Amino acid sequence: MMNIVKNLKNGIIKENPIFVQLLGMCPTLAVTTSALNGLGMGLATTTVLIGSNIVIASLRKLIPNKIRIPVFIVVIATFVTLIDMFMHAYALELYKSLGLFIPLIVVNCLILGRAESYASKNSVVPSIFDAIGMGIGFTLALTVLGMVRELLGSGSLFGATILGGSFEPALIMILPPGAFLALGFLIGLVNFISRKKAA
Amino acid sequence: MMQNEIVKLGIVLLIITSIAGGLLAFSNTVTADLIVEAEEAASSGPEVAMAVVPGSAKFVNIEEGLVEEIKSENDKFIDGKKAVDENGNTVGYGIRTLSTVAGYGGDMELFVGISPDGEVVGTKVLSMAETPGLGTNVQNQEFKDQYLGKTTDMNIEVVKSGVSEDNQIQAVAGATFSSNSYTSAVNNALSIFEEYIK
Repeated sequence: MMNIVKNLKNGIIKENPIFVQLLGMCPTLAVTTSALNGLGMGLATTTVLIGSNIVIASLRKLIPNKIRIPVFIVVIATFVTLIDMFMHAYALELYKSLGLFIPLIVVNCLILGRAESYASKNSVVPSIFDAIGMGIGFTLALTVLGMVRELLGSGSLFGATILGGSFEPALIMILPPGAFLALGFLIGLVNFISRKKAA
Repeated sequence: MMQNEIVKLGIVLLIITSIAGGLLAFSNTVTADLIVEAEEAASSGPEVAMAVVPGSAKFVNIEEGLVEEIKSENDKFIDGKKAVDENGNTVGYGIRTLSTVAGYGGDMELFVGISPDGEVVGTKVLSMAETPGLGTNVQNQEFKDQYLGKTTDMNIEVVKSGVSEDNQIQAVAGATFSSNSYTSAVNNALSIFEEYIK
């Protein structure tokens, strides 16, 4: 039980994939133009991560060490393709706005990283919670990043206008440079808080 | 010994990829039809018909041969539909076409609604890759409304400011490329209507 809490906390706070490990920067910077896109990307990645961690943890004793990386990639790519098909069928709007970044989940180093460093060495249940923790951490970071950029760049949150009227949206925030600016400030904020806690 | 190991590794990999392949083939058969349906509903469903041709209830197909004929002669043309109201009366036509002049992010795909007497009654973007917040502003009502009432005998032109002629459209500020691209799609739809459907 303690381990589960530790796993979750590890993924969400201590080793947050975005703010601390800086893993999977490509989708992070590219799709977070709105809070909903960030949330959708986070959830899609989490689903793949949970699926691949379960399969890899349960097959870990059967997979020969020499071909473990190709096997991991096959497992991950299978889950991504499944997500791609089902999203296309059931969530067309989101599918279109995430576009190329769904197939690119295959090469998100967060997923291969967890497969290699956690799921291939631990049993199924802890691996599931490791995936959930990391997934929540990733989703949370992407959603917050999307919220900041959407609020400043379009004056809305999850599509609902918040800052209307005299507010002039800072267009740069939803363009690529805005992703770097917002991410930089958020990482700074996270570091500031964690150092204050440590001191 | 060495060869044995290679064969063994190959077999393990083969088993895993076969299972993965089988799983994907199965889910493909499950989702393939759903995907076609979802795409069809999103691009030519009743909601699109109502947005493009006001007063209509849905799109129905025009003759298959005509669609093929236009496609073979106009490579930007994608599909043509007849818009009917609840009683099945024709209230207009929807022409789905790519722009003939590329925008900032390539061609955009539009549905253009045209009344039976050849006036633009509505336009809708189906897909585009313009810059968010700049080029995507061509979807604003204020810009789109400028096309209403334009007729097949006009060649619509984009001006940056000061609309003085009937066939002119005021470009979206900072997005002349996107405005040009949008206009070219509407012009293409109008000329297709004039030549084949009218």
